[in-house]
Amino acid sequence: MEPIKQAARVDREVGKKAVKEILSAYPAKVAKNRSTHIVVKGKNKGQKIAANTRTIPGIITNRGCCYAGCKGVVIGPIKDMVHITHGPIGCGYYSWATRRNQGMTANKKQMFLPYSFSTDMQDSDIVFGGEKKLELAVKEAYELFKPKAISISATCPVGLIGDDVQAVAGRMQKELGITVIAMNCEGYKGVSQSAGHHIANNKLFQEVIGTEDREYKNPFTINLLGEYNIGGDGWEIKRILEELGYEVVSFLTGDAGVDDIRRAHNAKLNLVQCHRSINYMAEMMKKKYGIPWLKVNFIGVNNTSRTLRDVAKFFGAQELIKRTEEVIERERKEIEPVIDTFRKGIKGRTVMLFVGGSRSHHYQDIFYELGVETVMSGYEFAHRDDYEGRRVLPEIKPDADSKNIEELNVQPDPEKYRPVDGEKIAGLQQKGVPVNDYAGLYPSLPEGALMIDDLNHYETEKLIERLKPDLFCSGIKDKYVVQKMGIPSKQLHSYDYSGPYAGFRGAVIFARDIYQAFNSPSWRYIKPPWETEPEIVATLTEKEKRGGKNAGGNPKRDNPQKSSPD
Amino acid sequence: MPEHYATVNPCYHCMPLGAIFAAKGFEKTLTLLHGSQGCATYMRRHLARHFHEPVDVVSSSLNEKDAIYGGEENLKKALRNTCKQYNLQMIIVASTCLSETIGDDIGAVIKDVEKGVPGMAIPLVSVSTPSYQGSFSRGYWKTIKAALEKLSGKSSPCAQEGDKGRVEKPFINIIPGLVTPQDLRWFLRLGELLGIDFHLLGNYANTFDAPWETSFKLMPEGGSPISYLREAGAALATIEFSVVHPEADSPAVFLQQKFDVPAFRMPYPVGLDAVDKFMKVLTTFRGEKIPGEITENRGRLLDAMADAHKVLFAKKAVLFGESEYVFSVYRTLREWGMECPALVYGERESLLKEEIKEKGITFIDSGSMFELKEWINCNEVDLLLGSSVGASLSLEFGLPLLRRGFPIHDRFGAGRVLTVGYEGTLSLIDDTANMFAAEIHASFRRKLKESYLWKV
Repeated sequence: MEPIKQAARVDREVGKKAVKEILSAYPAKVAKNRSTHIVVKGKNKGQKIAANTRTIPGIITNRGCCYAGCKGVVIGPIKDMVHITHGPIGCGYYSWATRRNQGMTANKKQMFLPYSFSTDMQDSDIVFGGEKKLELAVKEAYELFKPKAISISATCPVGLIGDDVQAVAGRMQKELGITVIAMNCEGYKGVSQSAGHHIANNKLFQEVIGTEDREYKNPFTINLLGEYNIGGDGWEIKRILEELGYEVVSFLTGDAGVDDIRRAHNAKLNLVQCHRSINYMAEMMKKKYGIPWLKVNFIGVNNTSRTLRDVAKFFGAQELIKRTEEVIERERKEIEPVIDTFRKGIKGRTVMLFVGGSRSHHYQDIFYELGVETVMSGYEFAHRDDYEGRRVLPEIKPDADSKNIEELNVQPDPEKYRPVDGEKIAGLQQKGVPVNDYAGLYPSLPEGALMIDDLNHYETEKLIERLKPDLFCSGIKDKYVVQKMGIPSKQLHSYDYSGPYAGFRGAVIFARDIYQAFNSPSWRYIKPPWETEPEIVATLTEKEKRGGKNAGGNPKRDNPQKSSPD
Repeated sequence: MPEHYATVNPCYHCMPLGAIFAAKGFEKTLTLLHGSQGCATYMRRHLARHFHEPVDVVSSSLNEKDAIYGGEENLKKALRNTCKQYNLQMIIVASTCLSETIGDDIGAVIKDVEKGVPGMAIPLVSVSTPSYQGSFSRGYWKTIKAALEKLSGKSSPCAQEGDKGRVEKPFINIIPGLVTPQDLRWFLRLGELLGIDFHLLGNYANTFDAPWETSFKLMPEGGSPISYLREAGAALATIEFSVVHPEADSPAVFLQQKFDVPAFRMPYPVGLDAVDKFMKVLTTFRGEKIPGEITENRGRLLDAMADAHKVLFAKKAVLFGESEYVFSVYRTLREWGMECPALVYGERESLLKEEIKEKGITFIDSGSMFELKEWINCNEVDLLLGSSVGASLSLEFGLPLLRRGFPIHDRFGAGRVLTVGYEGTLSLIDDTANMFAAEIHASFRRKLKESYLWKV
């Protein structure tokens, strides 16, 4: 993907100094390890970052476990499948509706997102095995809800006591006559939730996708992969795509129905939003069914527009390309005046981003649109290709942890393999349409900014002190630490119960929420009048005279004027 | 009701979460969960969402290799790295389902580390908290007990003289259980009013509900000093708010057995009778009359009970959450003439059923809110009272939900709700009565029409 124009250069020296300070506090071995996960973006291309390696014990990380990636992220949002957690009560509870995946079913009784279903293992199950209980739980789920499909996700103790969840799934599928899939996603597997994504991809690919064929009259059939409908993102994207005449065969897995996923292989193109969690699926579908994939980004007005143009170029129909331009123009006309109003109260500030395995990239671009400069961008559980692009894939050597996650050997399907002409793909790639490719976060990161993998708690705090961002975007575990430091914090996992943020209308909601974060008058009252230092009063008054620009922001430090990139 | 094999929509949590609650009560103390990092991440998030506060929990981040060959090396590394980064006074090392199933010997690792690592002068307390052996409340009680087992003595200056009668600064241990930060502030204020030194074991008033301060601190200020644990054996008495939790895990009973500190195990001071009894016990140490401010509040509660009886009497409330809190609220609602036909809790170890002698109550002890739903389908209910897991039932059945307990994930201010004492009970009765008052004022005329006019 052609990188978005880079924002104004951030001061490289500040970042370098901060990194040095951080590393100096670690034991030597830890410092050496962490230094490979930190990059200060320079002029030279091809800077390397270490990623997807083990978390250092005793350092507070934001990373989750394999189960969280499998059940919590990929499998969980499938709305008409009953998801059974095989394990003690905690895992099932903590992954219960916490990612705000929205969903709606025609038949209300086939909607299972509001449920947490756990085998609630007790001591005796650990000692004598939990297979029997699991089997009864599957039967019970079937009796209660008569779902089309059931999933079983294993938690830590299950693998150790040797419960064969695959065998239970097999038996139950036979007995109940519905799809029952089981994932060996014990929490200790891999180094983060990323392992769980892979396991879930494999299972859906093996057991669900391709199990139902359908002919589509619409020539523009697509799947949207790696979109989990958090806060309704997927619905806004669907609105735009359907208006343009596309038929979305399936979502993986936001607002996804099991039957849609069965038919996913009938689509002509896979759109990949979250590269990290679903690229396995995109690649496997390419190999088996010949379906190409396109890296898309529906966050931000420019990105949404570019993505829609890319998709239209892929299908190549003139009518479609024309309609795309018309819709983009109409939508932008509708929203841009509103966004411009918000931008006035936003621009000129800086942000630190630390989210997920794809989101930091998506959001650094929308922040750029709003006139906010990214000073640090990092991922919790990404791999090198998410930072540096897929071109580094051949360099990544499998290690003990990644080898534990099965890599499926996928061959073209003798009947269903319908490849797209190689020349056409090459032609599109030449035009800058990212078919079967992803350039990573790096290209659109401003020079001088930091790129950090698996940022930990201590580093977060140090960096905030040193880089002095005006906003920090992460999840709820960091949110309140950051706010206690006097800096507004936006959750980009759950959107602070707001959203959607995707597409055109979502961009307005995002701009509004960011505007709120900066401009709430609450920030002004932080210092009680009896403690006010005279010079701070003076600075504030100065700034208020300039249009109250820094009325929000961070009262704990100076807020120097920043050049605005627009 | 049909037999269930799975727990659907639980209202209780796993054991290590209770360990975090307990550890948060002590000064500069972190919990280290020995297991997969997912546990720490999930629990941090779960707590942060309830309190709207940062919650630090460390993990030994075990992976597949450790699951096979043992995770003890990781634990050692984790302990060293934690100490290096934070200026700590204590670490609670709690096990998880993973490390317990592997069979790691945490006690041995701790001994090793304590001996072998210079500078590891802080106490490392090990507690066994596999989720399949109990719930979060058990994790809480076990952790407090484990900390006392490791640290408690009679090391206070008064005790060294060997005569409690000549104690210069007598104190009482209070083990508050799973209450709110506001409740803990209330206990401390009560101690001041009565002139009794309360040693809260522990005090998470500030660590879970810190005020905004102009200088940021890596660890939140507050928590009880570790010395409270060390001198716990010299207390005049221990009061612990635990009745339905088994005695085997009781820290108060432990202190009684080891140091002859009289143990008072009482229900949470919620409801007139329970607060009265709590005050009565306190007067035995003070020997003077209860101050006027307290009796005034008692009077206000009686006033409120008289005022609200017309909307509360015979109303049916379903309670769910931690069984100790369910027990206290049950007793309180019965004081007002309300009925509690169904009680939901998930602690298998709880003695709630044994403690409640009343006939005709349905106990759903799997903690399954789905079973409660089945029950509501065939029974009359006026009010849901418990954590935010009741939200979907509230929407589905159009029943009011009064949010109390843990977690409250869809509202603000969970840490600032006062639930104990006459004042906490006042807030409970007002909030409960207002649920019904709102309904009466919104629908009275409509119901009147339906009953008298349209029927004609």
